[in-house]
Amino acid sequence: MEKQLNRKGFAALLDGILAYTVAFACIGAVALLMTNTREASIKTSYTLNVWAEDLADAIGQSMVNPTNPPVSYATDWLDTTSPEIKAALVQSLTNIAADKRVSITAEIGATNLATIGNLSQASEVATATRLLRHAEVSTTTDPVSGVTTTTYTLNGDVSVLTVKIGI
Amino acid sequence: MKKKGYAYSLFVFLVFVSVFIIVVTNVKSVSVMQESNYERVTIMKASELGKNIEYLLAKGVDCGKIQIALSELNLPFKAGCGAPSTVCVESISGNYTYGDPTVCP
Repeated sequence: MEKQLNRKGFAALLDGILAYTVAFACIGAVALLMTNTREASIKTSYTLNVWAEDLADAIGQSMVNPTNPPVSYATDWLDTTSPEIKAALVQSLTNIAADKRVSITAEIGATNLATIGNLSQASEVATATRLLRHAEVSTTTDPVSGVTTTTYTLNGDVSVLTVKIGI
Repeated sequence: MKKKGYAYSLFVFLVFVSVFIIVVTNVKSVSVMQESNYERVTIMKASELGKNIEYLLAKGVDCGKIQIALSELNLPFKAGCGAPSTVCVESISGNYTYGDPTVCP
């Protein structure tokens, strides 16, 4: 019994070496794991921001009524919320969110354009903003023919489009 | 026996130093990557907003209206415009400047 407890010489040295080496290796492995996690988070953050900026560009350019020139052009950015454009936008964002497994919200000022998923549950959120020319919508109906005409008129104001994407 | 003890102690010490160096280097490189990523993201956002403001000014939007909209945003960089159509976007660090810096707030 005493012989087993009082290990000396070469065996004791080996025990010490093994203990120290295992301790340092474990601490090192934990530290490396933490830094790798941070590295992945940094790359995710950049990718999310690129997506947010691309979405903001695409949404801004979709705010166009192509049937109502000369107020709007194919590449102009206007603030319109016609039901058809909004429905198409929401569908597109829903498809993107499902494909990328992210949550997306898009707002112009205080008006919500689309909310897909739940951003409050996202661990990482990227935000992109765009300034849009504000167009006021007016609808007139010809009493004779019954034809309804929607007119978009720029009022000189600037609206802020905010797109948030979270993962 | 003593020489063997010194050799093994040296070996343990070298293992400790190696692990220490690897961990510190990795932590430092991730820290640098984080800073560089923040700068990259900021420059990307600043560049996009700069083009956005230029576009609006070219379309005849009043600079004052743009300034009002910009003041409501919480931006990680400076952005502004000056009559008739000058744009300024500048990162806080000063590493990135677009347009005329004199019109930046």
